[in-house]
Amino acid sequence: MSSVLSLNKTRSRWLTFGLLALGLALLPFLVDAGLGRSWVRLLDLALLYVILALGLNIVVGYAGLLDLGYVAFYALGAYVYAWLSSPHFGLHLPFWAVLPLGAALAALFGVLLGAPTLRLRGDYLAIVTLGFGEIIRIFLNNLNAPVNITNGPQGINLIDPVRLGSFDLSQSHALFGYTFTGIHLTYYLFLLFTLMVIFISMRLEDSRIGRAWVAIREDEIAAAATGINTRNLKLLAFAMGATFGGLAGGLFASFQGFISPESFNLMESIMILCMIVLGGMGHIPGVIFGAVVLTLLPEALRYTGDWQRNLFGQIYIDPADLRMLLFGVALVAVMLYRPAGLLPSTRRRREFADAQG
Amino acid sequence: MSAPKAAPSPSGKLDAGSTPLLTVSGVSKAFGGLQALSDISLQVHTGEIFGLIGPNGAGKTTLFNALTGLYSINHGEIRLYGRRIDGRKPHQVLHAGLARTFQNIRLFAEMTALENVLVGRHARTTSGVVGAVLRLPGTRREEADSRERSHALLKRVGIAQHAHRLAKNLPYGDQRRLEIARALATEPRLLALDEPAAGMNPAERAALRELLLQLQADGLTLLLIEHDVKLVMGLCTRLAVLDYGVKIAEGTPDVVSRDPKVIAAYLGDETL
Amino acid sequence: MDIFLQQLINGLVLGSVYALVALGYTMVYGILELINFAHGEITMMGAMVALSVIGALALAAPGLPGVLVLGAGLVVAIPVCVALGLLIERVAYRPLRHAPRLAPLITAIGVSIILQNVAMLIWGKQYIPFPAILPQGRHTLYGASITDVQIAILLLATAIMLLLILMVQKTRLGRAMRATAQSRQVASLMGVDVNRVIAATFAIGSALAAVAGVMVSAYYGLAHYYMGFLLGLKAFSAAVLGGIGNLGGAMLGGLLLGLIESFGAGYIGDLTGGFLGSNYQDVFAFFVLIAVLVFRPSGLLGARVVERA
Repeated sequence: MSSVLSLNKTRSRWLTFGLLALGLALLPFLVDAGLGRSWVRLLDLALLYVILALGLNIVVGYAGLLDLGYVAFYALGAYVYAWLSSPHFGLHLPFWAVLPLGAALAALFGVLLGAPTLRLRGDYLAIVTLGFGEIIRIFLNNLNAPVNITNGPQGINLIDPVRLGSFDLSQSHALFGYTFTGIHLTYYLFLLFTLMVIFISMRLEDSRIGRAWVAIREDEIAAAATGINTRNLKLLAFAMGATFGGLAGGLFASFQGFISPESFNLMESIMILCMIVLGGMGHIPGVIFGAVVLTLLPEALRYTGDWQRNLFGQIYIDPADLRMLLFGVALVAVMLYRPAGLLPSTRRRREFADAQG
Repeated sequence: MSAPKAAPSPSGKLDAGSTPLLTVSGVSKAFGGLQALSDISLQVHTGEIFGLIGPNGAGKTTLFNALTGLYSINHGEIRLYGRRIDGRKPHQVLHAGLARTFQNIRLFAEMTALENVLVGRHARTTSGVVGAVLRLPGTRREEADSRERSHALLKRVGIAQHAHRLAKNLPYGDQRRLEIARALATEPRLLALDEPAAGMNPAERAALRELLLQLQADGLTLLLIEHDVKLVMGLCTRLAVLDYGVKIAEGTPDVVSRDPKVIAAYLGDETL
Repeated sequence: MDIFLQQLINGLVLGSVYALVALGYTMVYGILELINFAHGEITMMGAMVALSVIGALALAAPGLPGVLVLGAGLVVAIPVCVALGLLIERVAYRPLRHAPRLAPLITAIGVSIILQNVAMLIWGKQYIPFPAILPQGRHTLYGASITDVQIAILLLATAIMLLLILMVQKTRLGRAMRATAQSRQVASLMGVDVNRVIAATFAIGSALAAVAGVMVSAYYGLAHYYMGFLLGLKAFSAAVLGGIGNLGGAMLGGLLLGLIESFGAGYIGDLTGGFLGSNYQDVFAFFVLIAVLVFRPSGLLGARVVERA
């Protein structure tokens, strides 16, 4: 009886998995046909933000360290990619070498920045990381003289797209009788990395390391008294989060072909924070949900412009300006009314099932 | 340099040659102008249940915090099996074999009971990020072993039925037991319990008493802060009494309860 | 010598504004152990409201003396900021007083974003110039120059700080505030209405912020919806530098930070052989903040925090 049941369970699990894979594979074509090409681009960005949000989720959601300078690692990954793969220094290293390098450098910086600050209490840490983020941005903006390292506010242009041998991912290609445009191909590349990051996050969550992080978040003193080396594990969380940030940065640079300090301001950090708070801190499906919704939000908000025109005959509030306001309201509202996020954690559900069974 | 009362009381259970597991010598701790601990010395021997009693504010919990590395001490030294543990970080003290529970229960509220105990396994396991992500055979073995032990410990303290409930939703008495299970998961040589019976009803107290005696029978050494005098007197092989940060007495329950200094310290305190 | 004196004057003026804003952070932190992230935005709101009033008045009654117009701006800006501060405390912080530490911090960030964007919707994205209503006098002092506005800022800031110290030391409310800062629980047992004290703290801090906002916009001659962010961060750094929770510390920290920035910006070019210029002025506050937190988290005047388990 139970074996039949478990067999059914495995089969349905594979079925779900297969459907999900099929859906993800077809998604860009469905979106392209239904909503237009600009939405496929948005889809690519959404995947990028899923990576970023899952990275920050390790630091904030698991280990409970409020990092407001997360965007610094994102910037680092992007600039490393731009330096090594653009005419700026005349270097054109392949992406499979540059991407890991950027991620590793970001991890190293995560440890370097984390080491002196991790003794601080939560709210101080928030301010200090915010300060670090701002320092990095100020340096990016000003390190164009006397030696031109970052090219200042103009940023770095003509960054190489991802190339596999002679296969340029930013161009259209005819494969299996279909034409795949650059943004479609990028989708699959990003999807690959996103799935990898989700996989790593899931495995870590349900492991000795993940439990230690959550223990630190819940009660740092009790965690230390239970044998956890809190300093090392916090540093590890910082490094892991920074790795994902650096990775996303490299992907972003290759995708855009252009980066400037403007893309890495505090509001970006806050938006990523918003994603995990909205979806549910420390809860992977929630974080993914939050990242996707908030990436698509500005596009959806565009419709408010049409409504305004229909209702009042003119646009009073630029939809783009509405975005940050809504983020602010969302942060407050979620904390007040649904502190666990919009997607309740499986743990709650597990408990519920437990109580029933 | 005065040891107020030598402890010449090898009770029936203790053989004279037993090794001191924990040696506290001349430990002092001050907070600003407040002397919380003055020149405390005591020895806990392998296999005994050693009680630490005294009126509120006597310095018992401060001593616990000093022993477990949460406070740094100003003077003196603390040794576990002859190795210095003062000046070490809390997780290092735990690694050395001294685990504890807290007076004001400190569980990981948003984790299940099982996960709380699994966190206790952290110190005795080694798998890292790579092992976790790739689920290497070693990690899988370790994880399976941890889960098995943790379930066994939950059963042992009597809360196996709560394994998948969040710690914060457990009844009070069960939270105390879960804290003990978590501490036991770290495989301590010495378990320090800070008022484990506080807030328990008589039935729970009786069960706790049974549990502690069993642990002792299994070879664990216990250090116990407790206000329930009946429990302390019936359970402990020896006692030390603190008052205003000073050790005023030490010995078997019989000897201590007749000590005039102890009676004076507790005068007006209904607990003795 | 005159450059030195000039940086000293600039630093003191800037620093006294930082000090006023820092007081708001430190008072709230002292009582609630909460970083009121939105405090910088309240300063911005003060500047914006005052500028609107001043602009309207200057247009409606061009003959009015500048000081009167400025006074009218303050008279409107202060109550608006106080109301805003009270509202924020009531809606965004009070319900979370017993929530995990991260929660009020996140709502605070949310509130600060809301205020910024509301200000942007009301006043637009452009810089708003400070109307030319104030005396433009400039005095020379041993080769350095000091303007009437600078003198006014210094005098007003000093007066306000003295008043605040007097209030905290001598009045019933001040005593209640100090008691609440020591222990909320004990204070409430002793009959202090803790909620009222907290509200009063927010009100006073917001009033100071309003004044500081007007000062800053008068000093730089403009206001902007985003000005509160950096100002708030710097003021917070100043509060930490002096020892957070300590009123005297906030004042000292503010002045010191003003001086550090002013001298730093003035001399960084020489110190780094021209590698870094005065465009790095904003970095100093962050370096000070990080250095203080890492090496002396209790700040200059703060008592060493007793380790707690």
